[in-house]
Amino acid sequence: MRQIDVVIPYVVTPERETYLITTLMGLTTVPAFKRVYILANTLSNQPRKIESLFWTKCVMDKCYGMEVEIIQYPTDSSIGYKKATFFRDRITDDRFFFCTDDDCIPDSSIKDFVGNESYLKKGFAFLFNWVDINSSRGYKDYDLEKHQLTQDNNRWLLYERKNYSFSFQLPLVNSDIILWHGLIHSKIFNSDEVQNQFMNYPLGKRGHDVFRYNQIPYPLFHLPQVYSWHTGVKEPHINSIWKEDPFMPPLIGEQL
Amino acid sequence: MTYKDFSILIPCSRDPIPTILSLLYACPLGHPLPIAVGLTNSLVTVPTWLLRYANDIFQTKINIFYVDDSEGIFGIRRNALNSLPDIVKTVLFVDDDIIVPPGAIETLLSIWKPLVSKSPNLTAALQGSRVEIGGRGWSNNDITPMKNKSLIAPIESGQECMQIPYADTCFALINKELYLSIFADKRFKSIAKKGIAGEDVLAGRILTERGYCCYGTALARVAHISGPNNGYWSNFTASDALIEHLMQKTI
Repeated sequence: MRQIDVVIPYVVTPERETYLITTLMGLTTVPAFKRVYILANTLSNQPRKIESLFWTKCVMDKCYGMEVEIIQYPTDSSIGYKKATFFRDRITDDRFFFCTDDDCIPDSSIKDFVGNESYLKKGFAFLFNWVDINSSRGYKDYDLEKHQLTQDNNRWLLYERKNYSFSFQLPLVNSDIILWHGLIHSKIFNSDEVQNQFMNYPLGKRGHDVFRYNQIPYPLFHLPQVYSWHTGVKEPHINSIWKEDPFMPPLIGEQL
Repeated sequence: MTYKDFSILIPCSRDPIPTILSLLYACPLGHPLPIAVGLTNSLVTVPTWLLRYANDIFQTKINIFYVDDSEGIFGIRRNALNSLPDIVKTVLFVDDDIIVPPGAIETLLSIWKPLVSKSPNLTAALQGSRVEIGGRGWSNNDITPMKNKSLIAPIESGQECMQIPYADTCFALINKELYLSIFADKRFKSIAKKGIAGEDVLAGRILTERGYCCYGTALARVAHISGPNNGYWSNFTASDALIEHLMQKTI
């Protein structure tokens, strides 16, 4: 079976440690995921020793046989900077990565999709969905997640999933996307278009990973029926640095 | 194996998410194991998303209740056991700073079953082995037999389990009725105070006195994530040696 490495950007705060270990344990349910890169830094308004991460690495190694590499970035590195420099400096070969966040537990649909390697020959990016299961997470009209499935659909996925037949159709994306959660090829992250936006996106502004679909020089696919369980809340410590601003793209339409 | 008379029990004073999630992943799909969580104060809780996730994906219903902690850890364990339904006869105690890897529960149960079949009236407990990975390391104060390498060695040379003086309840299968009966012993009053551990050490002594047996196995290993440098999972003072000393004076 092809091994696919996982990349998780992470800001070191005590509040998020639980989410991270939860995510890592969830990743062990996908046999292809044997190694995880954690792109870690601290924020100057939330100083915390990065060493606190190393017990997490130890748990994953000793209990689950999963290799976790913690890559440390300078304080106040933006998420885009970490992602861009990781792929630019560390990844010299061309291959797929599973890109996810520290509060997403992979559903079995991800295991099924990743295990079927024939799909990977058909494209360079397979963007997955996520289903919110944390009731404390509220939505606003300008939320980026609005372009994901609606809450009603999420509920349908939650309760009717036993009767749901996964077909893994591959709809081509034809509008704005979030270029992160899914199986994405390193060629895309190392393209000039993505490197430029990731590197130059201002710290504290949301939307570094939002692209017009025609900005990316590779075909993109979106799989709404392949998803993670999103356990996170909107967290004051992280989100206090975000400003809702003109960098936010407009709402994305009903293409799903 | 049927699990009608079995329950996992987590006495919980810290964030239980990693422990519960590890338990869900440790139980094979299609064999949901009942999980009970005894919350010892109102500051900790099990988030609804985890209940939903456990129910929808693992068909596991997590039973949550509050436990009076005014008599320390001894009281918490006794009260938590009393909160379980009468039908539950065998309990797997799991501490809230333990990560249970896949396979550990099955291994423990597979060793427990023949022990009980052979001596149904004498088998009191079977503990697994805990591996320190939270920075606490090996402490001279910790008298847990399963952490003593010289005791683990013969097990690794072929023995599945061995008799030990007491079962560390951080990860141990116990006979519920037996433990409840010895918890009535008045000697527990000396440690029935907040912040004092060692109830498992005393329980082992009393069980031995009455002719019951505790066992340990190194084949079922769990990870202990508490440590002095880990602020998130702040740990109780590890003072087993002190407790043992107190017990000797008390008994």
